[in-house]
Amino acid sequence: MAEIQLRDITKTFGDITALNELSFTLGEHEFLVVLGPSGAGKTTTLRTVAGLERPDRGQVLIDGTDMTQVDPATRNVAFVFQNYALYPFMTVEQNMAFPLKANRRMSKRDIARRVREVAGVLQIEPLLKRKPTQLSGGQQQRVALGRAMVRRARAFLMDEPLTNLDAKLRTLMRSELKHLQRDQGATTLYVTHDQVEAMTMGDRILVLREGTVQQVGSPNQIYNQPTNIFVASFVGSPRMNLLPVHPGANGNLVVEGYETPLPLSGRVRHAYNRATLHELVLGARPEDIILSATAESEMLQATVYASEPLGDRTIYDLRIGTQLIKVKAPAHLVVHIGNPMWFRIDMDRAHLFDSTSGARIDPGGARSPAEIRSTQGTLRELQDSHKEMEHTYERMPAPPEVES
Amino acid sequence: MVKTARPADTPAEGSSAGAASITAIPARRRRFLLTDRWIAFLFIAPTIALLLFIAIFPLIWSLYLSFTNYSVNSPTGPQWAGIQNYLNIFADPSISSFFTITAKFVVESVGLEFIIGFGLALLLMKKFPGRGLAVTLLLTPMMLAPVVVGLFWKFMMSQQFGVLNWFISLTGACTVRVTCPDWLNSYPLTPWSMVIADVWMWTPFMLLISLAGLSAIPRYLYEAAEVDRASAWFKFRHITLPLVWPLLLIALLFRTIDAFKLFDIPYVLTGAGPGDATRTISYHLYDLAFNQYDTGTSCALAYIMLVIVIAIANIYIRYLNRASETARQG
Amino acid sequence: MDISTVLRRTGDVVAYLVIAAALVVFLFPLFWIVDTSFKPFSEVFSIPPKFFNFSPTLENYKHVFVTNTEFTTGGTASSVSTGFQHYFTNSIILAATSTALALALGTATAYAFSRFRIKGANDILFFILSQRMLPPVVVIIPIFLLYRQLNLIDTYQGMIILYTTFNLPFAVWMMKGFLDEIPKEYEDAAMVDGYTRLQAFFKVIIPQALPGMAATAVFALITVWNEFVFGLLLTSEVARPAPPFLVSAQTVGGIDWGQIAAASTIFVTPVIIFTFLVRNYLLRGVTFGAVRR
Repeated sequence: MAEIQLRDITKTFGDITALNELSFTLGEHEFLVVLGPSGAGKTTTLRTVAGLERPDRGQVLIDGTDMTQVDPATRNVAFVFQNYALYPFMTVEQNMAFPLKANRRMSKRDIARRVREVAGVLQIEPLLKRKPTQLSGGQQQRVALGRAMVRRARAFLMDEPLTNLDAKLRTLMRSELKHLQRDQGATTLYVTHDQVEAMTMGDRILVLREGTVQQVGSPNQIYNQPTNIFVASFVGSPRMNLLPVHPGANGNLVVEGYETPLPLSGRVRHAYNRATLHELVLGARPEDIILSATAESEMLQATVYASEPLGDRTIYDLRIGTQLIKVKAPAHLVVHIGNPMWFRIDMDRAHLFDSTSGARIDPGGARSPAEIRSTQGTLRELQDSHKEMEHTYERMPAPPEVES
Repeated sequence: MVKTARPADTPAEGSSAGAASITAIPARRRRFLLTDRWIAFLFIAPTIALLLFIAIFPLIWSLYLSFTNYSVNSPTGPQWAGIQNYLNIFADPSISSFFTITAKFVVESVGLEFIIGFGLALLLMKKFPGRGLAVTLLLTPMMLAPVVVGLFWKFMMSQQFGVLNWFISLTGACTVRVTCPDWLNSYPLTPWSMVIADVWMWTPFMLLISLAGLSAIPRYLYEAAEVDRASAWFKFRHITLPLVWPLLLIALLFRTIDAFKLFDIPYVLTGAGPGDATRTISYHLYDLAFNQYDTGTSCALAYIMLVIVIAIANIYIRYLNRASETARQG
Repeated sequence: MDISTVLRRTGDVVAYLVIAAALVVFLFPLFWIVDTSFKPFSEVFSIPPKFFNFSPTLENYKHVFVTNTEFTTGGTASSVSTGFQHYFTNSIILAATSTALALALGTATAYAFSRFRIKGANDILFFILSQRMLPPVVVIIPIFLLYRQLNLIDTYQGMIILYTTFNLPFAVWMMKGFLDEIPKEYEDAAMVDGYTRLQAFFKVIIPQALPGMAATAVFALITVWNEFVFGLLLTSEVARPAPPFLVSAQTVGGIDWGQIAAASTIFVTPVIIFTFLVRNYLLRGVTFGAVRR
């Protein structure tokens, strides 16, 4: 498997700059997700790595060799397209055999054997004689995967392969894809706009916006240490609460439109002390705000605007002065619209952003014990959920039966 | 359960059963840059070359010849005559009558084709068993060779033995061979014979396009209007017409230019007769060039024709842009 | 039954009547020619015209290919070929060859415009489209002179070049429409898998475009098949196609309409068959690929 590196890739289409000095390294066997909204340049990035687009500037390195000017056929990468690009006039078997016929070095028998081998891995053997139009979306996706896998390419490039599947199938395929990737040890560059996919599948996530890298890091880093407002609000559902704040009289924070100032403490205070500007944004995720139905010490008052029950938890929409925040909390609180509710923002987990540039203000220095604990906690959570995923996978029923 | 496929003897990482080796990069590099551009050139060049040779070059040569008094079968080459040919044409009163004949033919034919074609399309919007077959059958006339159509009608319109007159006589309007009209040889009837043949042949064209335009109108527009209790006329005027108009204009554009260019039917059906009654511009051009061998004048006349065609196309296209704008806003 | 239903039903009946009338009007001439082609000479001109009550004969069809010439001396009539077979064959050759060439070149050009970013693409495409508006009479004189110069008059090569060029704008526009409908990802997938663009074009795109190519071919065939003016003026004997011959058929005793009816029937039959074959593409074909449903 190969290591892929992009250096300062710039690509324009007419007046539009699709990629702007994009650089990153995808390690061998790594699963890197490029995450961003539509128009961010994700597909262009993928196509540049594949050789389907040639950058205006910059280099594409595969295993250390400059491949920027090399045609796609020689790069030996595999591509899974969003719409699968299966040839309707060929059977599944012919579709999967097609890549192997390109160089005419494999015998017919070897090709058939390899196709069957890959079909076995993906459990699409019964479909081999069918035409793609006779298959369901999920089946077509597997065939597209299979076609990518037959060649034993050095890297896999996937363009939103799960987007066209219905929600249930998508959840199923996420874990299957991840399992496959681990199993084959495949260097994978995966593109999506779905942050859940990115978080659950990626070893690392690259957040892309308008052709510029916003942040590269592990899911944990992206989630808990976002470099700017864009990353912070793109990942996480419901979205992180962003409150415009400015310094108050007694060294505390005043939220615009809310009369009671917020006491500064923890990590936010460290960040505040390093802040040089005064137009700031306080970011707190819905799960990092504590609620109480009765007034407690250090809690501030808000008014209930709406509540969205999820079953195990509830999202509470609270009005703070002129601002509206969402809080995720256990479902047992009794709420009535218009009634007061008391909240406290966990200042060890909240962030401070510069409101002009959007950049996060680094608290720097020693991390508070609470922070270390919370990071470890999150990490353990993730490990647990990953183990859970594996268990679920073992217990998973066989893939959907082939329709007759 | 997905089986884990760990191939027992996996070849070394990075290679696959057919990949080209990395050391071949320098040679491949050039292919990458040149191939696409070369392909584009190779794929387009022959077409452009042929078009230049058969369409553009003759056009230019024709323009040149229109300024000479060349004759195809004269031993001497073309001699410059300035705009004499054009002046002759404008001064010639018979030429303007030929233009009138042509214009009348175009207006009458295209007008009738439009009304009948569109009317039939409105009727055919209703679904009934056998509709597809009926439509295909109705579309057959426009696929036939114009000369054959001309021959058909020449046979049917004969005063002596043509079926057409016999059908007319059934209504009691005339007696066959005696009082029934002489379609091919009497003035003012003969120009109409051309119109009949052309309308028969090309109404299906208008029908086809009208059908396409009418089918493209989303049903929910009509349904919304019905909920508001709109009358049939209102629906037609405010939904159907504006949305179908751009397509109709395209059809009218094609038909107008084609009717203007028409040669085959006058040649076969009437031979421009009686006298010059059905001498269209196209026919006159052919006569000038290949019977009278007056190459210079015929080229000049041909260019005048070309200018008229371009003008017609421009008018239509301008209308078309305006019509599609309003349709889009509506 | 209330008024509105009565009105609607009456309207329906009227509509059906009109449609039926239209069918009769638009199909009768075809029927009449075919009918006439089977009539013995005496019945061809009879008034009132006979629709079915005559004894059908194949004489006319024979006369399409062979006429009887009477030699005054010796009194033996011998058959002389009319040459129809030759002209008919020419029509086939010219139509088939020029269509194949136009299709090949047109598909290639359409592919380039569909896939590559070409400077001034719209202008070039419009230029190609505008060829359709060109009155043939404007170019026929120079082409005649040019061909005379190049000794291409009355040659197969000359007519094939001409007819191919006739069909090129049409082929380009039609095929561009069809090719645009094939996702670019098809070639991309093939190229990533190790094929060159040319290989991808032939192995992946062409198979997918075959129905469109067939439809385009049929329309091109019909166009050349029906062509008259250039066939008349640029050929005399060797490469002359059927339409000019059809028009020129005249015997001593006037026009043998039975024979012409038979010849026309033979000539028109392939077109009718082909029309049915491409009935799903009629709208596209007839508007040059400009209009698609």
